[in-house]
This record gives sequence, C-alpha cells and structure tokens, in this order.
Amino acid sequence: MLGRLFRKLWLKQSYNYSLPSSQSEPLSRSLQANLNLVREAFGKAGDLVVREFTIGSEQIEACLIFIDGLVDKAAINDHIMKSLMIDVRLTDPGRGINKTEVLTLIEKSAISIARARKAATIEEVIDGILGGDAAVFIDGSATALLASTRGWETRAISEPDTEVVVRGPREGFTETLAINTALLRRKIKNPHLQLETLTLGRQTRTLVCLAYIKGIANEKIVAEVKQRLQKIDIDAILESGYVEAFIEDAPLSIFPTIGNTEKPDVTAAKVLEGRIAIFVDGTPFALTMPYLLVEAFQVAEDYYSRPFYATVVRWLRFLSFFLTVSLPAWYVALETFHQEMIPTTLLIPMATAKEATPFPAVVEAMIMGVIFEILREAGVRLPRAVGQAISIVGALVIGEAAVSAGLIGAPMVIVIALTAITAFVVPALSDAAALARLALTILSGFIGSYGIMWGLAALLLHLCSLRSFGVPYLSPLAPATAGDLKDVLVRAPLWAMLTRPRVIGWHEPKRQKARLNPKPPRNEEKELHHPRKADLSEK
Amino acid sequence: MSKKICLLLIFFLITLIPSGCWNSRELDTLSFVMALGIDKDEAENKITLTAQILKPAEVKAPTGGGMSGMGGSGSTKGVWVATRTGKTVFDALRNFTFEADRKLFLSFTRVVVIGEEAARAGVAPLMDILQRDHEFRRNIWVLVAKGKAKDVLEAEHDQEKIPARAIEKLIKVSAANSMVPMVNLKDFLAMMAGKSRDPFAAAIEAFEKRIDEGDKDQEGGEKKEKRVKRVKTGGTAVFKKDRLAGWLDNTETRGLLWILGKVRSGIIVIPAPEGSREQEISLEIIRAESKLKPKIEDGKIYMTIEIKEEGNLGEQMAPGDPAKPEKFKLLEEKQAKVIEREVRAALEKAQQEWGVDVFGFGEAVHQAYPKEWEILKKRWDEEFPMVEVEIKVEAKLSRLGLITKHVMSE
Repeated sequence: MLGRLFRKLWLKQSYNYSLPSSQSEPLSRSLQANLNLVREAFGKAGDLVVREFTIGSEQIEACLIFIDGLVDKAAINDHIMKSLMIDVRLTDPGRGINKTEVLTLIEKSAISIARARKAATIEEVIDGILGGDAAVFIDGSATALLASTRGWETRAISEPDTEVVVRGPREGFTETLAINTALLRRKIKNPHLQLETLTLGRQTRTLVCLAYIKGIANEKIVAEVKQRLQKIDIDAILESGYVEAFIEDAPLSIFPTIGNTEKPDVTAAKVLEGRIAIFVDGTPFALTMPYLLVEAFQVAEDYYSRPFYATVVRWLRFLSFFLTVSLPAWYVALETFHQEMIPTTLLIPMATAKEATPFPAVVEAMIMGVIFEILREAGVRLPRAVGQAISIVGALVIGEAAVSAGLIGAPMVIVIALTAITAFVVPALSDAAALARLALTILSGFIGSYGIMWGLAALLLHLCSLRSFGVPYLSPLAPATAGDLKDVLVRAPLWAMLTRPRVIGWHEPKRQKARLNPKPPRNEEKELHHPRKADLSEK
Repeated sequence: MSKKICLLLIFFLITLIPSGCWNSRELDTLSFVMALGIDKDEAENKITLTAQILKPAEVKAPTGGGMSGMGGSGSTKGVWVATRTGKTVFDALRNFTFEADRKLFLSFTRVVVIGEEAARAGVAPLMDILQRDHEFRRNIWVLVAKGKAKDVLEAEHDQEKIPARAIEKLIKVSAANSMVPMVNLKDFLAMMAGKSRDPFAAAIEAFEKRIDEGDKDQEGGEKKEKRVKRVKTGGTAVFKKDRLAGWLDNTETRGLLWILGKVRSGIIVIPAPEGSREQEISLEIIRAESKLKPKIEDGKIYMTIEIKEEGNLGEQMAPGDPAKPEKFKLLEEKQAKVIEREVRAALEKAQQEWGVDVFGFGEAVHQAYPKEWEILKKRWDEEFPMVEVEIKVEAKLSRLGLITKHVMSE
C-alpha cells in the first residue's frame, strides 16, 4: 500500500534528467589547443596547476597539469619535472627525433613513475587529473600521458569507534578507497579476490568498488549486485548509505537488508563466506550483502575468543534484543491489564510507585522513552567536552528528580534504563528495535498482551517475508538449516565449522578439512615423556 | 495483496473476541485484597467479610536510612482492614464499593480465614465463589479461626507490614515443626469433594498481647500498657464433610500428619534414658513416610499404619553415651513410642470421638477392596469408628551430631 503511494509520488516527480554532457573530444596535436581545452573544461579552478616547460636539450614544448592538493608533489618534482627537464636523454645526440614518438619515448624512458598511461581524449585527461594524476602534454602529440601521482592527505588507519574489540585487529577502514581495498587485500592474499571498480554519481564521480571471491561468491548474486549498481543514476554518492538506499531489497522495512562494517577483518570474513562487499570512496563504511538478521548478533570477537563464553554472550544478545523490543510493552501490559500476572512480592513496589505518579503507565513509558531518545541523540551530536552535561542531566534530572518529584515511578525508570542499555548490545538493529519498541508499547497500552502478541506476530511475519539478494532474511532459522545453527545458536569451535553458510556459500561449501580438532597424540605421548630404553642406551 | 491483509486483520480481530472481557485498569484504581476473612452470623443469616486491603503508600520498600523514624516496627500498618456484610459472599464483596473507592482485586489474596461459627455451619456454600470466580487463585492458604475471622485479620505482626503475608509465612515456617498442616484451597476442595475422606485445615487464633509503652508517658507515673492483637497458628481444624467437627492440638496434629506421611521436620522430645526426669533428649526428624494397609476379615476392617521414621540426635541434656549400641537401640524404641503416642492421640479424637475420616482410611479401603467398598461406602460413617487400628512404627536414629558423649559423662 505504502509502496504504491511512493510509486505514485515518484511518477509525478520524474522528469527527464540531464546532466553535463560527457566530452569525448579527441586531443589535438597542438599543445596550446589542448591547454585551452583543459582550461575551458575546468573554468575557474584556483587549484589547477598548469606548468609549461621544455624537455631536455631538444627544447620540446611540453606542459604539466595537475590539481594542487591531490598529488604527491615530491613525486612530480623528482620523477616528472626533474626527469624531463634535466635527466632526459631521448636519443643519441645528433639524430633527429620524430615528434610523434616523443611521448612514447618519455613514457618508456624518462618518467620514473610506476603507473602511467596514455590518454587520447580530453575526457580521459580530465578524469585523470580529477583523480589525482598529473597530465603531461607534449607539443605535436595528440595523446597525453597520465602519471599516477595520487597523494592527498588521508586520515591515518585507526581503530573504528563503532566496532571496538578487546581482542582482534584494531585497524579500520579510512575514507580512501585504495587504502580500504588494500586493507582487504592484505587479509585475503588470493588472486581470486576480485575488485571491480565503477564510477557512480554524475557530479561526484565517486569510485565504487565491488569485492568478492571468484569461485566462492554466487555468480548470480554478483551479477545482480552489478546490475543494481549500474542502475544508480544520481548526482552524488557521498557515503555508502547512498548506494545502500538504491540497491536494498526492502526499502520500506525498518530492518536493514544490507550490512555495513568499518573493519577489514569483518569484511574479509564475510567475503570469505561468499558475500559481496561494496567499498565507496570517501567513507570508511563497507557494505556487505546478502545480509541476514543473525549477522547482527555475530561479532568479530566471537570468533577470536574461545567458543564457550562467546556462545553465552551470543544468547545474551538475543535476550537483550528481545528485552529492548518488548520490555516497556510488557511492563505496561502487566501494570494496566494483567495485574494478576505480577508476582505478589513485585506488586507491592509497583503499586507503591504507581500510587504517587500522575500518568497512566503507557504515557509514563512513552515519556521516558522519548526523553531517552532525546538524550541519546543529544549525546551523539554534542561535542565531547559538553557531553558530560548530558549524562548529568540524564542521571540526575531524569532519573533522580523525576522519581523523587513523583512524576515517574522508579520501576519505570529501571525498565527504560534497561531497555536503553540493551539497545546498545545489538547496535546493528538498534534503530529497528527503537521503532518496534514504540509500536509495541502503543499496542500494549491499548489492548495489553494481546497487543504485544499481535505486534510480535506481525514483526515475525514481516521478518519472514524479507529477502536480501534472494536469501531469506531469517535463514538459517527460517527456513531452518540445521547445519548452520553452529554459528547462530552456539558459536561452534572453529575446527567444527566445516562448511560455509548454506544459503550463501552453497557454491563452494567446504571450508576446511574435517577432524582438525586438537587432541593429545596417542602413541607419541609415552615416547615424548618416557624415552624408550633403546633410545637411552644409544646415548 | 489487499485480500491477504483483510484476511489477516480478520484473524487478528477474531483473537480479540474469544479472549473474553478485560479492561484497562491502572494499579492505583484497584484495591488489592491480601487476605479475606469469612464470618457468618447464624442468627441473622448474614455473611461478614473482612478484607485486608493493601495500602501501597504505606508499604515503602525498605530503602533504609532516611525514613527510619516513622518506618518503625508495625507503627503504620501496610493494610487497611475493612469489613462489610451481605447476604452472600459475592454480595458482601460488592458491598465493599460503598466503603472502598477502588474495586477489589482478588488475585493477590494469599489467605482465606474462615470464622469458627461459619465453619461449624458448613463451608461448602462459602467456598463456591472461591472456585467460580476467576480472580481467586487455587493456592490460597485456607485457615480456620478459633473465634472470629475478623479478629485474626485485624491482628498485626511485628515484622511484616502486611499481616496476610505474615500469616502465609507463618504457615510455611511452621512446617519445621510439622504441627500445622499446610492446606491450600486446591487441597481443601479436593478433600471436601472426595467421597471417602474428610477435610482439615490449619487453625489460627488471635490473641491479645500487652506491650509496655514504657517511659513515653511520664505524667501519669504509671506505666502505660497497650493491648495489641497478634496471631498464632497451631493445631488443626477437623471437618465432618464441610462442617467443623473440632480442633486437634499441636501433638495431635502431628499424629495426623504422621499417618498422612506429611511430617517433614520437627523435634521429638523424649525423657532421657538416665538421669532425672527434667533432663530430656531431643531428636530431630529427618524424614518420615507412612503406609496404610487395610484388611477385611470376617466383615471386620483392620487398618495397619506403617510409619517409617528417621531421626538425628539433636540434643542430649543429660550425661551419657548415646553411641553405645544398647543406648542407641533404647533411644530408637522410645522415639517410636512417642510417635505411636501422638498417632494414638489423633486417632482417639478424630476416629473415636468425632468419627471423622481425615486420615484417608476410606480411600485406602476403597483402593484395596474396590468391590467391598461399594457396600461399605454407604455405611462408612458407622464403620469408620469401628476400624481396628494397628500402629507399626519403625524409628531409626542415624546421626549423633558433632559430638558423641555428653560433656559431663565420664
């Protein structure tokens, strides 16, 4: 229903979308003509550097163009300018040179930069310059040379704030695509790791990189992802969220069908299971797909620590998610509809608290819920230095004062506090949980536990109907795949995780050799500790 | 698509209808009844209900510190005791709305106390609503008051602000003595409904206690005394069908529980085998079980009660070495004697005096001789007092505690 509405709106607004026409004009042989083309294309560009010079003793007119700040100046000075102006030796002295060959000669023997290519159209040249290349034009040559001198200031690789681990690699992605793909490459040293690059966004021309392992990832899903990516035709891609919004399966669901992570090790693990990752230049968040609900409950550290506590913690996460979604609703239902379900010992404090407070339980729950969301939002946006003020206001004013002033019951404060804490245990779903919680609380305020049951049933139905790139969202729980519960209900020891998740890596299910579990050697044990007599006598 | 949604909506709506009626009620619109007392005035044929209604504002959770001045021991009651009369129990319950500004909520009733007069007149009519109304739980403790139920409910308790909870705990704690039967509504109803046995319930009694108000009152010179009502449990109310037949005292109650095999714990005091009469030995009951073995011979019914008990030596006030085999044996015999005496006492009263089958003899006969029971059940009332009872007690002494000999023995 909602979808139809959206479609209508969209149709009304759709118009023929035209963007700056792409210039595929070929370069001319004249240096000045080419320079004019470039100047014209850039218009007023204060950061465009155009340096005219002559090459070597032959005094060939040439020009170097790059954008200040995008390039590594040392490389330009040492390996282009110095090489061309001073060190250059194009031919044996005396032998005449063919002007058309100069460029090839320069590329082959003068410019000591590993990555250089020729460009024949002005479009290519401009793309290169915008990407941080230095363009060398030579008089009399209809091709330009693009030397990769990319070298802008980047943020250092640091530990991501969103996914902190106690044990495990601390590096996180940065805003630079090449660094991010290199980080992934460093985890998976395998030529089958494919990194396909696309340019998206008519104005921003953002580089987007698709990463998957050939042979493990499902070819059909790869094709589908590529097709969806190619359909994107918008102005700007500023963050991976822009990409996500255009390729996700359920844009109207509160649940995400595409995952994101800041950690190379998490990305590597997902890619190794047969998933596809998408890097977007300019953001440290990589997208992974297909994405299943259970992935929200799996944390990198689960696999780095020993399996027993990891299993317990995983169950804590399930419990926390259930609590954060439904605890206020249950409290409201018990307090206003099903008083007989409250244990007697609990009734007395609840009734005592209720005695003094003016609002019905559901209103109380909503007020506290909204206040918490406000506090959270303020806490996220505030500068660190002011951040403490929020916790003081939250703890003292809301927690203490509201209770002692008799506005809010103390049990309700505890319920909301618990709800808030548990929301952070499963961060990937915390916004979905907040919305579900709100709906459940309202339902429960109207019709008690019936409302909760309705809400939970509707939520379950919805979750069952979701797909992420053809994979059922609730798998391996529904449809159930018994073998894959090894990484859902428990975190099995690594030597027991023999296969990739069936729904994703069915292509190449085998992950490792069986029976690798370590055990003490049976026969050697005695020999190790009690050398045989024969051995002793030899010595 | 829309058809599917409509269908779903219909299913959801259907779930609303069969669930019955309910309504949204905030906690502060309800009166939580913690205990209910039922008295009956035979002469006027009126039923008086006494309810202990929770006063949430008075029962502050023990936050400690700040409020200790006013919070003291029982100075403010956590409940409000209200009384209303009516023609029926339900009528009286609804009549509370004249006095209480909130609707009575009965799901938290932990204790039902039946007044002596009402119990003598028959409890079956009074108990109907307890089964019929959905708000009452089946695990309510059923108690019979010696005197009026109202007095019991009006009594206070020194440790608990909610007397109903105090009574509930009293019953549970007194299981350590096995001198108060633990009977809840479900058990009581089952016994009452059973054709071959008679019900019983724990007895409770209100008494007055004097408390010195001490030097608070200095002008009068005399010490001021305050009389406060307190409750105590002990003993059993024994019913004939649904009418109260009489009371068993503490030892007789344990006799009853021995037969039923419900003794869980307790102290058996026996005179010391040597030394003066004051020096006694306490044995602690560890476990006990019983078996009823009926036999019909020549139309006469014999009942063998086999009791197996195991105890530990808990205390020996007189010198002597109980670890000697012959002393040990002697103690075991004496222990068995005490148990037998208690059982006899219970039998004498219930069987001989009142002819009330609270022991389940009828049931045992029914199970062992189903054919004969068909004839017997019609005149079980006459047969029951005639049943010849044999008591076999097998008492064991297992451990002596941390020491063997008494410290003064040579």
